[in-house]
Amino acid sequence: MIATFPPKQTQVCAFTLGEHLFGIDVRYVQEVLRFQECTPIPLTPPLVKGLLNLRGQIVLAIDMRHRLGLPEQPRGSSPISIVVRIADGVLSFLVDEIFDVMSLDSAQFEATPETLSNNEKRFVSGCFKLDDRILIMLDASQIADISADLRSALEGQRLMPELDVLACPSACT
Amino acid sequence: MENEEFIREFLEESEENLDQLDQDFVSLEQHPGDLERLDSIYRAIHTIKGTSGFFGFSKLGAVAHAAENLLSRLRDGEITLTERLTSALLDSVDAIRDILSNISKDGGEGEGNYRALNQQLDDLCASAPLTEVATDDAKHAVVDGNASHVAGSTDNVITDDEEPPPTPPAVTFSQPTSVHQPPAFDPSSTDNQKSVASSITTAPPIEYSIEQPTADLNQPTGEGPRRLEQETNLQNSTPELAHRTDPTSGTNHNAGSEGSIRVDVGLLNQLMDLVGELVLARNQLLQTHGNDKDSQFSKITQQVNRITTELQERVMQTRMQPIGNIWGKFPRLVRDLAVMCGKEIDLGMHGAETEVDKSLLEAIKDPLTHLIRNAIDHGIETAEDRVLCGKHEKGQLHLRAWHQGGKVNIEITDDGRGIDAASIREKAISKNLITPQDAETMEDQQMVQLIFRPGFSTAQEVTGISGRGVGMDVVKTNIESIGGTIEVQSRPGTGTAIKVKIPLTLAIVPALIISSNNQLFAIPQSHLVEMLRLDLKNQRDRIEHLRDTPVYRLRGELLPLVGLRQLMGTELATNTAQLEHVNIVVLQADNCRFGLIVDHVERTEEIVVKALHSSLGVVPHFAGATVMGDGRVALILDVLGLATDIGLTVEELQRASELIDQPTLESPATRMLIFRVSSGRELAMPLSEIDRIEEVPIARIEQTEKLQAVQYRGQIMPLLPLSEILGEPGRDRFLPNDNTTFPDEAVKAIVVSVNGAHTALAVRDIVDVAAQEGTMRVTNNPASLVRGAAVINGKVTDVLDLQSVLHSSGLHDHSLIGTEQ
Repeated sequence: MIATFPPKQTQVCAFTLGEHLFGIDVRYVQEVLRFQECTPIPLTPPLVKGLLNLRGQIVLAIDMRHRLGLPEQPRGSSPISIVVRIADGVLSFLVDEIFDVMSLDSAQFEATPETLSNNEKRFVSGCFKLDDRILIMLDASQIADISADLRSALEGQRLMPELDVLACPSACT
Repeated sequence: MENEEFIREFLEESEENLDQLDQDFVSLEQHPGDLERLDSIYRAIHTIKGTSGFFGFSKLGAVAHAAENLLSRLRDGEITLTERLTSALLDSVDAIRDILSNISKDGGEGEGNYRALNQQLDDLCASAPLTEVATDDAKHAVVDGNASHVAGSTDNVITDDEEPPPTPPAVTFSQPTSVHQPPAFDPSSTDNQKSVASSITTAPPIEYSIEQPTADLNQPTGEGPRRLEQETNLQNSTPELAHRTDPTSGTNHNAGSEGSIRVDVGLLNQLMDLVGELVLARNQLLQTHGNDKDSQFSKITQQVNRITTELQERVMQTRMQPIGNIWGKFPRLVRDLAVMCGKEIDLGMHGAETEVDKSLLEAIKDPLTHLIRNAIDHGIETAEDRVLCGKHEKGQLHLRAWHQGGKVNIEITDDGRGIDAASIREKAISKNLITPQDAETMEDQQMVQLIFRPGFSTAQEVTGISGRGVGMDVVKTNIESIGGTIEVQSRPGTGTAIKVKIPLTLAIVPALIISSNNQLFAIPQSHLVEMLRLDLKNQRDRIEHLRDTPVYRLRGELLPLVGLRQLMGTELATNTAQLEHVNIVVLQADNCRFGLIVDHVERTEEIVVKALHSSLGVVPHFAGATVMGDGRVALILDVLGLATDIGLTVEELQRASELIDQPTLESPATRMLIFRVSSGRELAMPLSEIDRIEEVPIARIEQTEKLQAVQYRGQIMPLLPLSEILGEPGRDRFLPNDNTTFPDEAVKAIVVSVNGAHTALAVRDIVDVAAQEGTMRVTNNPASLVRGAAVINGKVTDVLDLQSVLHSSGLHDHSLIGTEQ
């Protein structure tokens, strides 16, 4: 992914997933909410957490840990919902905790390291070097684009009966 | 540019005006004396001309000016409207539309050259018998100087005109002086036109009242009363007129007194969402405090409840628009197609005020257009053919819309050649849609429904208008995708009626709430056939297996079953062996019917449908989601999507059922009503054709010259003497003196409803309701009033052909000709 050099100051909504620090452009963010009960959607992969009722509006929630291939959150902990508005609708990104909303200088920005795998590069637009840690900037619209994942999961589901033994969970993602 | 806002407004307004113009011109062609319409056209064109001058759109100004000149002379009665004139004026409307669309695209007027058109308009204008001399004023008004043709040749258009206008110009000229124009008046002078236009706008009612009697002679009989109402009651006008005055208004009120404003649809949608939230909050409030002892508080709660409900209804109403808004384009379409096909067609539109949700209106526009094209292209014959068949040379095409049972009914009828079942049969067999064996047992009406199968087209030749074989199935799919149904009735030589039923709105639908695996789902009731609860310990309620597919014998028909848990991927296969009870929801999707096994049936509820995120479109099982009263989200099942998922299973079932030699499996069992007519003969008819059964006291039967009837729900309901129609002896015609002879007696009547009008068949008594066993032997005699014979209750019984009975009863065939009351 070609990183477009961000303007001098970028407003970033920073959040954590485990010990990692991530950020998305604050312009996408509509609001931040405590996690509420979610209606699961059958036939969808685990990255789709379900549907949230946001004051009467129905919002699709994406589990960011699953989306980025990180281990699941320990049981009992309740995620935070970042409601984002992207071109084709409103979504909720479920994260561990909100870190901060920061104004970061473009001098601290660095393009995506080549060493990342293709799948990681798809979501990462670059990183900011903070004083003591690295903030990974995510491309919100890439994260929101889950049609392909849904499709392959659905096909996997259809094949299940015949492929009982062969089907391995990692093949779905 | 600061003008942008004004230009956008101008474009929006003009767009609406243009649609109205199409309609007005076509109507004007039919009723050339309709001064009111002519004025409305004149004003619309005049506005466009004036505004285009203001913004400096010279091409637009020139076209509008040329059209205006012509209209001005028309209005003054100096020339009369001919088909050629109408075509030229419609061309100018098209030109204006082109230019406007260019302006909206890039702000420029585009590359189009309209000189030829302007010249044509000018020539037509100048060719009036009362030759005028164009003044210099005209040239000044026209920016690019096209008006130099105004004083062109005087070739006589009037002589081409077969029909002189029914309104003698003398009538028009005997108007009050404010409207009156001396014959020597120069129509090209813009200044004069403006003053005339303004004087006319201030004094229109006088014109209608004088114009009315002559104009009325031209009305088709069916429209008479409505027109009168329109002219006499202008303020509280009929919706048709309201629509013309203000096409954006969703209500029936004229813009005159209360006024209306333009509102962005997005804003309305937001309002709708907010009301949805309010409804939810209200529900929660009621749930937590509904039984509160505090009377003051519960009073307030009730108040909030009431207001919320009303608010919801009103906001829903803002999205409702009269169906006339999309019908507006049809007169022009019909006219153009008729001219193209060399046919003569009268278009009648009834119930244009019927309101439909805006999104649905958009969704039915294309299907309706397609149906109209079909009717003109394939249905209605050419004038010569019609005369040969003994029909009026003008074909009748009628659009009707009305509300019934929470649905919007739309009917398109023509009196054309109808659909030839025989050629459909041939075609269907040749295209392998049905087997010759199927064809033998199929009735004509069933056969006609085959036109909705994909890849079907009976047109001998493909024309530019329709007949590419991808029509009706797409229409059907489109209608069904919005929860509607479509059916066709046709009688060869008499005409075709296509009935479309769609829900009032998609935003709120009645749904069945069921649960599976501790999760709630909603199923739209439009797809729901019935619900079954099987007690598996009972030997009668047995789930059998065809290969691996569980099936249940529902009244002799094999119903394939599938578990919702299996469809939702939480179980690999549906296993009912361990269960004592099974809840089955019978669903209808397209041509396939299946039973969905669910854990629990909860309740029915009106749900507010919300769209899912677009990425979920790849999962065909869900049509949307809704918020339940407790704030939880429930998914709405897409029945068509579920059917596709289990499609393989159903095909397998069909293959398997062919292996079993059991004829009842092939044709779905029909529930039949068995009744005895007064001659004593037993007959049957499908329950689906019957509205209800009534007892009519003989005292209430009234006799008119031709028929006996009763008053029923404010309508006249004919009471047909069935045995007399069947040519058998029996007492089912009741003379007036019967009223006194048998004052307490009642006669049983089977009420059928065709086209919204009720008709009753007098019978002696009702015997039973039973399923038809096996297939019906169809009689091939078209004159017979009996459709065929079937085994019902172990007896061979004749099945009545309702259409033939209605047809031969002396009443018109309601479903085809329609009822003009």
